[in-house]
Amino acid sequence: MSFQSRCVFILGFFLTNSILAQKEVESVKLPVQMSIPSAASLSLTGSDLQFSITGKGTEQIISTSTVRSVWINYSSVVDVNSTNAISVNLSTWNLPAEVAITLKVGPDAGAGFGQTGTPTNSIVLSTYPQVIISNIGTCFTGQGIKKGHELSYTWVLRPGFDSEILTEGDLVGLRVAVTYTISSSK
Amino acid sequence: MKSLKICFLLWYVLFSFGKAEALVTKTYTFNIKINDIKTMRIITPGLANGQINLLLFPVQAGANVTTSPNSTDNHSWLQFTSIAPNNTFRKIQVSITNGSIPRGTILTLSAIQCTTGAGVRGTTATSADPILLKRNETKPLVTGIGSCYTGISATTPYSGYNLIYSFMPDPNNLGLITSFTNNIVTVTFTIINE
Repeated sequence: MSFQSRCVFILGFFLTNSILAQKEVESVKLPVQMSIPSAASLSLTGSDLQFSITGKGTEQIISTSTVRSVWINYSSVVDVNSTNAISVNLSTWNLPAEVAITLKVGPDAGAGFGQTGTPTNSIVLSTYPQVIISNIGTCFTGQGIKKGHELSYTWVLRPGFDSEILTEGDLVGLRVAVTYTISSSK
Repeated sequence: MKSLKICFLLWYVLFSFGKAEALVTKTYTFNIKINDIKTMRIITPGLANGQINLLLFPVQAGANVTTSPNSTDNHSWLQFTSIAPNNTFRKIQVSITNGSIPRGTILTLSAIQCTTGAGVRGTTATSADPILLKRNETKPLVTGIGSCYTGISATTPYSGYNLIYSFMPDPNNLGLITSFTNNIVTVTFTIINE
């Protein structure tokens, strides 16, 4: 070590020490605060996905050609003793009275982790929200197709209507908007 | 009067001889001591109340609860000074001494090698292998500290070892996570001889 280096070291040492060693400290403590807010979000994905928005819920426009190949992905962090649930409702529609749409929700594909939800049986879509996946804990499903739950739509005639009155051509161009919402079931 | 002058002259001569004897060389021994010093502090520029705040949440639907800019913090610097006895080295070790890590999550700490100051400032292996912090488990953060100082700058560029905290989900226990706010743990840094 050269003379100049020694001088710099000694000067630096005493300057540092004069500040740090006013009270010799061999132990210091630092608080670390951690937070995980409750949160939940969902999205729809698939090749036949025509439109979706985020906001209060995620909305999908479906037509008679929308059959399968749509997947719902979600993430969820819940409070203690609380779960989330996903519900669905028709938000805009121009369905003939004799036409109904059923929705079947598949089981979680297992691409994520945690307490993914339990799908209900098939439902007939209506304007009021119906739970389709319940008991969602802290989890994630993964993102993309074949992750989360597969959604299968079926366009059917309501019971009692004559299928001869409604032709296949009448269904062409029918479009409805379906809104999915994830919320706490607490 | 004449006899008085003779007496003064005689006293002066005697005193002069005495003074000559006092010039005999003597050896003095000085005992110089440099205290054993080890002292440190952590600066947290830009952090309110000097507290690290980490936030974890899913950023995209379907995605894992994962790290994000809010779940990692690098706003703290460890600064220290050490004067060590010969052939003695120190280390700085860390542990959680108060509070506990929330279920389903992990908290890691790493340090970036100090390049400020001078002397034997030690090394850290945590840049590549962060410490998994657990309550009452003491782990080394910096080892091989001799006589050194890290510098004291509390403005850019900062001095010392830059500390990096990462809060993340435990990949094996994600399902145990529940939401919470303001879970505080105390991380204690101690400098001791190796």
